[in-house]
Formats: sequence, structure tokens, C-alpha cells
Amino acid sequence: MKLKQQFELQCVCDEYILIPAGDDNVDFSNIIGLNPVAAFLWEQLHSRESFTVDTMVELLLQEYEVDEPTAREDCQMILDCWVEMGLCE
Amino acid sequence: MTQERRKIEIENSLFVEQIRNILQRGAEKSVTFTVRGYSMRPFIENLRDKAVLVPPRPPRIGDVVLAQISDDTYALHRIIAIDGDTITLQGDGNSIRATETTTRERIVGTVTAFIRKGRYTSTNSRRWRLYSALWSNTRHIRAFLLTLYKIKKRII
Repeated sequence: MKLKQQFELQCVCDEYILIPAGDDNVDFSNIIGLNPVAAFLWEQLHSRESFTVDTMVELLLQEYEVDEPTAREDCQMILDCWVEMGLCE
Repeated sequence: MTQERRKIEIENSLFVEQIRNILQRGAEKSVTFTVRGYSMRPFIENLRDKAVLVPPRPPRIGDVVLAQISDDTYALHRIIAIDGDTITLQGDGNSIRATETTTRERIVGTVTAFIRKGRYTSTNSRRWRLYSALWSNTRHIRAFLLTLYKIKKRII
């Protein structure tokens, strides 16, 4: 899995948003927001050529105090969301 | 984590920074955003309609622009006069005595279309030009027309 490069993660007023800066038109009325955990993972993964759910779990375990099964469940959910919203290629 | 739709309100000056950041990347760039405020009534309604903004074009009377009108205030208003570098703006829905001034370099972008009640209207379209001409030519009865509009909004 690889994250699409046209999205830029920005933090505006404590909100993490993904700006499709590579597109000609950026529609702020329909923008994707991330929660802090997803934003952390995005930041770590956006420059990687490829990653799997295992990579995500590893990152999460390093940063947060959480047990492996919970981390895996969360990561899978985040990844499913990203795929569904067309953020991965 | 689940997907949900929610509204995020961003303070104007921070939001304008985001818009400027995108528009500075090239002439082909544009941004779409939901309009806040009542000053462009009756065509544009608070939180219902959207504007499509492109990098600043040479200003013309009648254009709607997003511009800085004081240190921390921005307005999406219509150009009603140009005098050298001084540009006078006015909201369609404001009193004809209420104007603001800006300069060419304080214009963040020019509106090329509005999305009103979900319908796309280019500022080049006959519909928009007709509306603009009518609205500008009825300035003397603007207060009366706006009162009618507010009453109609309340009834519906």
C-alpha cells in the first residue's frame, strides 16, 4: 500500500485536514479530516514507498501505550477507511 | 474510527492563509468553499452557498473578490469602484453607504463561479450578469428589496 502524494496533511485550528493540493480545484466544503492517531500514522507513512497494516501497528505501538490486538484493530479500521476514501494506491 | 460528515469552522484569517497558499501555486488553481455571512444577499446565503475562487485577475467593476479590508478582516464583496490602486468594495446585501477599501495586492482571489442551492453559476453566465446588472441598477431601492427578501425568508 502507498499513500497518494497529492494530499498534504495540515493542522488548522487543532483540526487535521488532508488538502488535495495536487488537484486543480481544492474543495474546502468537502475535505477529509483525520483524528490525531490517523494524522500521526499519515505523517509517518506518507513518504514511504509501501507499507502494510503491520507497519502501522509497529508505529502505533512505538508511539502509544496500547496493546497489540487493539492497535491492530484500530490500524485495520484506519486503513480500510483510507482505501475506501481513495487515499491509497 | 468511523467516517462521519461534520462541519469544521476555521477562523477567517487562518482559512484565508490556506486559500492563499493554494492559489499561489499556479494560475490553474482554484478553491471552492462555503460562504459565511449575510452581506452578499440576496444571491448568496450564509452557509448554504459556495464560491469558486481563482488567483487574482485584473480587477473590473462588478467582479466579486476575496480581499483583505483591514489588518485582520477579509470580505468576499463586489468591486464598485477602482481609482488607481484603491479599490472600493461593497456587499450586495449591505447598505449602499457601507463600503470598504482595499488595494490590488490585498486581493486574495477573484470569484469565477457561485454554487447557489447546489446549482453552478459562472460569473460569465448570462444569469449572473443579468442579476449583477439588475442589482447594481436598483441601488436606490436596495434597502426596500432587502427587507422584502428578509420577510420572504422568514415566511418560507
